[in-house]
Amino acid sequence: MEGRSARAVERLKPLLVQEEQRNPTFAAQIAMELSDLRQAEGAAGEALALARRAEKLLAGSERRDLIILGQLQLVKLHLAQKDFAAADERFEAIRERTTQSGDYVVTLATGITAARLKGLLAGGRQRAEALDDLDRIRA
Amino acid sequence: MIDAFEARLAAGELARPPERSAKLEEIAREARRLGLERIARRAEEIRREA
Repeated sequence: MEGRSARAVERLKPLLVQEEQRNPTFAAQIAMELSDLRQAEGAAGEALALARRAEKLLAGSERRDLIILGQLQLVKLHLAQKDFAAADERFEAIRERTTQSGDYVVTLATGITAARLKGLLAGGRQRAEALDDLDRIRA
Repeated sequence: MIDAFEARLAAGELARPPERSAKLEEIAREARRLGLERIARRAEEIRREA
């Protein structure tokens, strides 16, 4: 799998450069996928840079679902780096917009992220509530 | 299916030991059986952070 992942990265990187001018929205999706792949390989700094690149590419886009998913990706990366304050701040900035989205993936990713934040930032009862939230999401 | 694994990963992350370790080990095993290597590796990484 590591080989497959590395090959995917090799193929996606030139595609990202190619699509940046031609189709920024598609390029942003590529950057988000690359960010996920690099994060899985432990390249946290590069993953964060790619997620920020996606954020820039989506600036001014009308694809609200993608903008939110890009922001949720950044929250996820902050959480992976244990930067809870940055994760919380970024999530609070988009919380209102996520509730207005009718997109299934956005709703799901938001629910999981909200539960993780609740459970990781708070303790005790809030952690138990977060686990209940995740049970409901999985049901 | 990946969505369900994401929710399970989060639940594993928030669980208390020793349940935490067992849950994450189970997620990694199931994900690997289904060819979801990225999920499996994340589960192992979270387990190591304990």
